[in-house]
Amino acid sequence: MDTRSWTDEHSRAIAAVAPSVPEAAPDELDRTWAKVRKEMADTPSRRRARIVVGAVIAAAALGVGGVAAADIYTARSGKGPVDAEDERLGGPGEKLDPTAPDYGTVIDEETTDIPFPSDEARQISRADLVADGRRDEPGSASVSTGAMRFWTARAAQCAWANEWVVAWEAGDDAASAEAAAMLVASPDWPAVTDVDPKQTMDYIWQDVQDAETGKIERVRTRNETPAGYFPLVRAAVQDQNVDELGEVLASEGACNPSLVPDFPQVVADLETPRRD
Amino acid sequence: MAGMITAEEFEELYRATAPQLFAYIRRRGVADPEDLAAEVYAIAWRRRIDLPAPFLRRAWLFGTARKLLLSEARRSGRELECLNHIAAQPETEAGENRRLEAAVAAALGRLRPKDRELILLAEWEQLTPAEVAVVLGIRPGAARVRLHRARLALAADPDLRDIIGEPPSMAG
Repeated sequence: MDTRSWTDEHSRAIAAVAPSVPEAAPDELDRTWAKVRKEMADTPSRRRARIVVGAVIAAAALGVGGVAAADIYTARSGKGPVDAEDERLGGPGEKLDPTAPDYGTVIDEETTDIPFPSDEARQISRADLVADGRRDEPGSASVSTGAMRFWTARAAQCAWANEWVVAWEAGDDAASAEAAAMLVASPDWPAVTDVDPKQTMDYIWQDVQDAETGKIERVRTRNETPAGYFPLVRAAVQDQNVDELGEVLASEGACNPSLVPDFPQVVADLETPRRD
Repeated sequence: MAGMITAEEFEELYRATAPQLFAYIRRRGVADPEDLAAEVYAIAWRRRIDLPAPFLRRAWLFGTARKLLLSEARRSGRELECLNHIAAQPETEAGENRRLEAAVAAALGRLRPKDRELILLAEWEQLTPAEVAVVLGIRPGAARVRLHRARLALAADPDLRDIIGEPPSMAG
């Protein structure tokens, strides 16, 4: 007999030492609910207050003929992550509403330090993010500035990769060196390190059970942090290996085809499974 | 966003879970739980797009309350109270019950804090292993295994074994 077995008697004994506490009284519950309701109502009202201020400024800027939209609201919430878990899952920085009309303007404001080879490439990245944000219903989504900046950095890296390949093939040493320097530096961009300071990529073995047969199979899976492939981009450029760079970016599926029009191998594999 | 809780549903969630949450907070040594409970539900409302499936929402609220309690305990430089009330009981309450409670409290006190937390969530709050996992932010499988080990460790405590005794033999 296992002398350490857990029995109902143990459960009863543990339950018996639970502190005896009074049941929550109805008035206590109602008072607390009133506090919660106030908090629920406060958040949108603070937003409305900012809207009013914004509308006044907009009207002033437009002059007498200007018309400020009454229903304008802003992407900025003024709130950050509520705890470490929230930051780990959602990214650092202010929570933004990507469905708000000024989300594109906020992107412009928050990403000025992220280098793009051209304004055109920056606008492609911006338009992508704005379009993604508008897939949600207004007011229903949230994205951190950290995550938004990281996505922008990924797009910038793609644009520089295209720039590097074009310059490389054209024999433009100066342009090639500039693009290479950007790609080599990209793992150290604050927009990247803020979200992923470690940038690691390794492999783990996982037991995967077949839902139909019940058979368990050991599968090797790539285990990487969000920017785990950034050091591989750096290494490929330092090795001056265009094919390797293309393979890394393709396997990540990180690039909008519009950002890499001259680097087709980055796009060609987008529909194929990620390499392991 | 599909599946996001409405204000009406949120009030239903509050009415269904607040009494249990109040009791949980009180059992952790907070005499007046109103402000802390209000903060828990305010966080839940702000993060309503992150709320889990309905059957795990009670656990999500408990987990949020636990984080706030731990944060407050860190700020005030004290541990969470949960067993102190037993030591504070008057000695006049003698007899078998008192002896059992003292032994259980002592055995719980000797457990690793993480094991004790698992046991109390399961036995005091009547949470399932899946709910315990949500409260502690671990995988359900890990919660189940850790709870099993914690129970074995507690059952093996010499003082508790003296009082509760051996379970009836299952041998046929």
